[in-house]
Amino acid sequence: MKGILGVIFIAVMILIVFGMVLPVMVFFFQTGEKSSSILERDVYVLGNALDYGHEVGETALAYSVYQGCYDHFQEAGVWYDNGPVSLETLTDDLEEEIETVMAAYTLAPYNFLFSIPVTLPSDYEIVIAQSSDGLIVKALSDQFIQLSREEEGETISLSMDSTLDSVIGTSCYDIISVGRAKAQVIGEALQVLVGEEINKWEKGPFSVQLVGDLTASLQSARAMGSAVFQDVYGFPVEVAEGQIAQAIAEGRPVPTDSGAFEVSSKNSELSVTIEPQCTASLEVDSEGAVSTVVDCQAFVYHVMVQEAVNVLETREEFFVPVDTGSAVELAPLDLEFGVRVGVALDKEYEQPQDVAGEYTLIIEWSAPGVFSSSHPLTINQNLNSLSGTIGDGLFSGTLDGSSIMIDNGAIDLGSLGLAFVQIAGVWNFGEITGTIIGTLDGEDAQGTFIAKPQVMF
Amino acid sequence: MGWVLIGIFIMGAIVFLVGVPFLDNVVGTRNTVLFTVNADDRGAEMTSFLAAQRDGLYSETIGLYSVEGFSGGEEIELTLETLGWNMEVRNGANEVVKQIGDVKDPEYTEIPLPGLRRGQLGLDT
Repeated sequence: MKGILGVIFIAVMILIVFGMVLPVMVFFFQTGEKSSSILERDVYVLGNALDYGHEVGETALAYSVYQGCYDHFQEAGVWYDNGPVSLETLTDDLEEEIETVMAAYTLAPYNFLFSIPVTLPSDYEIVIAQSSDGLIVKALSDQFIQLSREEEGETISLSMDSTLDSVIGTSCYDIISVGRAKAQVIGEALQVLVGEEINKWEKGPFSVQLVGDLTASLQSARAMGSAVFQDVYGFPVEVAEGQIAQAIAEGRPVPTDSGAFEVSSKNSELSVTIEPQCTASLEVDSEGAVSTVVDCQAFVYHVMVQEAVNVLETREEFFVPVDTGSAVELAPLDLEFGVRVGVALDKEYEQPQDVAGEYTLIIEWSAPGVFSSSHPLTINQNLNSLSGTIGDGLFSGTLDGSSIMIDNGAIDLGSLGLAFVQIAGVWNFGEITGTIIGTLDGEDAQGTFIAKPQVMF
Repeated sequence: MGWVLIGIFIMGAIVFLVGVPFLDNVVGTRNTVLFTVNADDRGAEMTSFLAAQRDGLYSETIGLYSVEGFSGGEEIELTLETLGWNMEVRNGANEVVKQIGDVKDPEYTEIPLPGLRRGQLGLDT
């Protein structure tokens, strides 16, 4: 009995002690427990907010690609200007347009659950590449997707890598590829058309003797040239200009559709000006008859022709959600670009020699030492524009008739550190011969070369 | 002495069974934790929903509801129906451009919309 009373006594005492201690524990531990919980909660919620930021980035990137392509295609510029614009240039221009739109999307933070602002980089660099699955788009920035939040004096800041990497199902790049190919076909056809048309007309020199003193009416070279045209063709230069323009307008190349893309073109500029280079003088013969002699050294034919080419996506499943200016709607990508050919010819137009192909380049060096080297040479040609590779090095150059000029800076020839290269060659019955100068490992170098076509069996 | 030990053991049990829940209630951690779970669930649900992908990223498709002429998005409706969730999309002018289900207590979050706009996604889970 005494033992039981003792136990009850001790139990009561313990309860009393707990009753006194508990409120004290509550007082001291309450703040810490709560803060800890809030911090844990916030970190967890903010972690979700970062994931949300990444989703926002991916979504904004897709919309930026659509809008960027759409906007860029509205004013794509000239894609053939006496030669094709490189695919690299076209890609760079599109990337810049997408970057501009993406920067607008990420200018201000996005609010997660209406209370947590999530900041995305505003300086994304866009890199695009085509794949069989669609357009591979990467958005790169040194900045982070980040957020911070203050709660009860504690600041939580979180950030994550901001790189975005998406494959976007759009025909944007396909349209660029089709457009570029069409630009080249139309541009080359226009160049040939203009050249062949000008070849039909005399270039001079002419010397025409006109009866009487006409110096008062032949004050300008154009008036003199017109008088000569009147004598040769029976009409002045203005009529000739009109006839050339009409022939070019009627012979304009008409593009064909390409798969799902409708391709059309219209003339946006066509001007023909004949610039006579003439002088006039008076002559009096032995019988006292006065005549005016008009000497024309040359007639320079200036032709400028520009086509506005349109490539239109026809498949509804590839329409893109964009602001068209009148509404935000699903709209087809509609590319419009220019093809421009401008010439000033005072001699016969010659179609460029076909020099494209695979060669073996054999160089006989005379400085800095006497030795020979051999390198594979590939020449790609677009009318008078050349590009290709020597060994592993890229080059670009020009073709004038059968003369080849390459002035290209450094060319990586593997074991030979060749720089400041200038190559002058002449194509002759399939072989190219000429001279090469530059520097080899810092020393002046020069030599002669022969490029022999590689025979394919 | 044995009785004393028995007494301490009984009191320990009483403190364990009564004291901890009592302590929790008093300091509010239980409420905080419950609140945390709810908030976290909604944040996670929102993020998961935006990141879901079938015939395209959901967050991208959701934005298309604000676009004239868009008639897709069936997979999203199916997902919402399956989960028993409701959704509404508001454009930059705070107009509801799409509502799926009876949205009563949505949690809103900001989303990009096509055409350089922003809107809100309201998700009622």
